[in-house]
Amino acid sequence: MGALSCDEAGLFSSCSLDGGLSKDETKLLSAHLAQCGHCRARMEAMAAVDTLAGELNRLYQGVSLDSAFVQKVEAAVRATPEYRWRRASAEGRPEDDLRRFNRRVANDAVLRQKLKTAASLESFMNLYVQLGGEQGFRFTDMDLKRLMGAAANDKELSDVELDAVVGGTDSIEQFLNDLLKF
Amino acid sequence: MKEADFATESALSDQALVEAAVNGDADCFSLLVVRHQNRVYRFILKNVNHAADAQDLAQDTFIEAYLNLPGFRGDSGFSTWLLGIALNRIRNYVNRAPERRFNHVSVDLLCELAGTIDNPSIVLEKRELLLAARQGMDRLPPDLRQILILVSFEKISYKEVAEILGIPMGTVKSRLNRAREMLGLYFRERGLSPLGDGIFARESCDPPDEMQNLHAEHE
Repeated sequence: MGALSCDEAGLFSSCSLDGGLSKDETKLLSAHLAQCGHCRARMEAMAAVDTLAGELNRLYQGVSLDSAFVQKVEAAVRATPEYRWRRASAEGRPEDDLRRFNRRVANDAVLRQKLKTAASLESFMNLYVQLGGEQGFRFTDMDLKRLMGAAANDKELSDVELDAVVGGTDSIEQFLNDLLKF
Repeated sequence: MKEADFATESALSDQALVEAAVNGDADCFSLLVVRHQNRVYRFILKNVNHAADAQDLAQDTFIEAYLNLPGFRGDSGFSTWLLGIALNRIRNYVNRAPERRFNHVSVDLLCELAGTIDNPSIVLEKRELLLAARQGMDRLPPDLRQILILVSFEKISYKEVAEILGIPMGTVKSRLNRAREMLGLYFRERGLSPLGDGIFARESCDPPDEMQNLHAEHE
């Protein structure tokens, strides 16, 4: 590409503000600006416009929505036929319900706190099944063991083996963290 | 950890959450909403300048996104995909009542929304400049304003903007150049000139009205 015309230099000036020029293009622009006062002034104006636009944009960065927004979207989504269809097609598989409940727990600090109060692994699993059932998720403690066992050795573990995997009944929190990875 | 923090910091990728949502896990879609709601809302607000309408449009955007989740192929980022949906909503909103293009959100209101109303660093002169910038953007033809917001504000690549708008990348560049030139002229009309270090200051004389001519040329 030869020397730039003023029109091309205008376009290159704009692209340069976005880091959109190659090295060669940058050289061509610099050469043009060095000998064209009109384009230098235009470049200066564009840079100032961009700086001001950036400052305006920073004001918007402080604007945010509250938690009521997601609740409104959730309610609207649940009213759609697509939601019911997708939910229905996934129903009946305990492992899917368990995974869905895992995500619910991961996103709910109150649920996690309740679960951490369990005194033993067995009571933790019973509580997990109970809380899941209260929220409409159908799975058993066997499904829970199966999921964790599959992660350990792709086989179902006994309670004792399960304890060993998670490092004993004192490791409720660790168990919960591992569980929430699924 | 707050829910919003969890959604932001969750190890699950957008793509994984989309797949789970398509397979019936609406909670995963909620995580996507929490993760992207502010970006979508701000993008819409920059375009429509009306806080309540922007919130309604953001809600419509997420509902449409949910309905069309199986169509998300992951070619672009999920947030870029969302902004494409939001842009269509914005166009419909403006087309239904073209005068909405000239909604003006005052800088004071913007500061209030952003929680910076008492910030002494935003002095009167700066407010005047920011207001001029906002009003100048409102006067741009919609196709130029959208590109300016997508590239200069949202930092979306030329390639992705071209995909969102369905136009060649060269057109993105030339429209962006045009938008910047028109804004520069708008400032000059208001007696504001660049100082050479990326900022504007007030001039003493009244320059000619050139933006109107550029509008005519663009149209």
